[in-house]
Amino acid sequence: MSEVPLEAVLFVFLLIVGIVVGRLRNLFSAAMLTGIFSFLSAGLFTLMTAVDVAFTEAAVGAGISTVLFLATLALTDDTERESDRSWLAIGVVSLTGLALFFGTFDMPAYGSPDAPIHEGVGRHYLMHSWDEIGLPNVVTSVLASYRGFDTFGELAVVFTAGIGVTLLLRSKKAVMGPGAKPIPQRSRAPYVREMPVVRAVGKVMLPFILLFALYVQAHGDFGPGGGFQAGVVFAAGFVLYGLIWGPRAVQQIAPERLLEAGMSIGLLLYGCVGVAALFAGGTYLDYSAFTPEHPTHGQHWGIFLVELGVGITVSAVMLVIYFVFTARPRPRLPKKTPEQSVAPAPRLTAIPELPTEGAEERP
Amino acid sequence: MTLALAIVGTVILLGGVFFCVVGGIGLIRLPDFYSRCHAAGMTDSAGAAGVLVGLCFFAEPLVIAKLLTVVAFIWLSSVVSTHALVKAAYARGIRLENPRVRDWTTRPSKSGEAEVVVPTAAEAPSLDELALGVEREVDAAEAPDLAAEHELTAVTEQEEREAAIPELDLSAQPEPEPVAETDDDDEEVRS
Amino acid sequence: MPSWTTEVFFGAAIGVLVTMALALLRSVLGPSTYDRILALNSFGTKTVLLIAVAGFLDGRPEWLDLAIVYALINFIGTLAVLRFSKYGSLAGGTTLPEDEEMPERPSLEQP
Repeated sequence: MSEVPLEAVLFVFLLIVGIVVGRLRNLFSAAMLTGIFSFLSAGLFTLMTAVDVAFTEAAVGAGISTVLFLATLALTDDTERESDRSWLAIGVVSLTGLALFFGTFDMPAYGSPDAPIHEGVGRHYLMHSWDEIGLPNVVTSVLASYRGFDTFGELAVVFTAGIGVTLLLRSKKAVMGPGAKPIPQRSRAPYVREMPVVRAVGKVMLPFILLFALYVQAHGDFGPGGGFQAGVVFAAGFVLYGLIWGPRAVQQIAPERLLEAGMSIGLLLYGCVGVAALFAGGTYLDYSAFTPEHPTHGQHWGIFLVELGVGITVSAVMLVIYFVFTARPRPRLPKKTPEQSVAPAPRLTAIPELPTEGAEERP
Repeated sequence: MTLALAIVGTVILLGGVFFCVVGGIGLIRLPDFYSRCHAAGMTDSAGAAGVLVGLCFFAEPLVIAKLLTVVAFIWLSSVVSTHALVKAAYARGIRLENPRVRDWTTRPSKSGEAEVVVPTAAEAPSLDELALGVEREVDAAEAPDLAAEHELTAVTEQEEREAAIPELDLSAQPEPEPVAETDDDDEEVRS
Repeated sequence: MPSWTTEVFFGAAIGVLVTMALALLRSVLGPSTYDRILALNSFGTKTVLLIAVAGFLDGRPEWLDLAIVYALINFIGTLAVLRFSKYGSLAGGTTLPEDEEMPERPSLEQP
């Protein structure tokens, strides 16, 4: 049975969530609904069999992006400012939207075999990828070999994002004093007592997450995966560690200097593979030049190294961005009662002190 | 792939979907947050396990291994997230719809009548009564006994308040003693 | 496999979609933030199930790698949301309070 009705339902959900996110004033709820939006998009991509994209969308959109939205909310206000409703803006946007909508009527039908994208190079990639590159996953062969230079550019964009965030947002004032250390494992501080189950499960899951990231990195040739996804999952493991034990604990294992070096090393590796191909006698990023008698072997090696570079840079950049956001001092905003005041941890064995208005009514 | 395996797989798969849908209905219709957490937890554990184990019957061994890995991950992660969520909500003071015990999330009624049941230790239900679900009505006049009964096991309120404040109130003013000496310096530094 | 399995998978996918719709409704309605977090968590798990069932519907069970990733990411997202809602920042509550003094600003007065 076709999946079009399933996709249609998911599109309706997407529309609903989009409208609600636009209307919500509370940015915290909006951030969470954006996470739902990412999950929906990832589900849609999967139903359209674009699995690599769905992978990246889930890992980045639903995981890291939500974390970074929340880190941003920690630095700014929680509520959206009231803005004036501008009828001119609504009119212009509606007209443009309608124009685009009518423009899509001229596009080929969804999934039609004579769409322009299936002519030319697309057809060549699908027909000849197995002979020329020898990988079952055509997405990886296109991404890393046929269009390797584009991917190099994408990696440079990721690297630039990391540098940009570092330059703009890293603050010299740490949010915690220089003596602040992460709470030791066996400490009796209340924070440790609070989350024993989460800590235990986090400890169990962390090695599997990191191992899974390595699996995704290596398996990109045969199934959905590759450098970008692996880098994000690897960083997500460390972010999980940081969410449970704090960024200071993560800095003890992954110091920022190491991450900054990692950002550059990945990109450099990618570029150097291209230059090595030049020295081996081919064009830039032509991996077949490594082993002229068996071009597919050279392709495999080239793709492996290139994806490794991608994975290193992406994970380093994600972690650097996480560090920069969580290390910024929290601005002194006026206190709002619901989310910002911390409630004392109750114990059921004692008679709890009721809130102040109930104090005089104790029997 | 025999017909028997396919039928068993279908039954388990549809059973899992049933739990998911029932849990989803519960998520909408149940009256308060904690009940909804229970409904959601049911979809995460029974629903997910049913669906994924049901799918196992249609797959090769490698895929079965992956499905069981997903089940393990969902059981570890989703269920623990729900647990952490309930703890966080309770610390926040989200209250039950019909509380049977007065705790820090409930508020006394305006008229002064006891609207919640407060059991004393002397009349604490025995294990048999707990198993049978018998509840006893207690009037509010006996509530003060709770402090005496539980003194040995509980931290007193004063200790609890003193313990609570410096640990968790991160934006609290520092202790009076150190600040008194260096008060002026602090004001200049934190301009 | 018998031929009716496709209909079974399709039915299961519809069931999971219904649950997703209900979770979405709760996330839109939910009077408190915690209801929304609960709905988000639940939605993530349902997406995992939808991916698994859709993989079998399409005949490509190797999509389960995605399902594993979604389960992990869902967990991380929920933990981030919980820590943020309790402490107001992602790093709150992870160091002992006595270590958390802000470093002094350099004095502006000339020595």
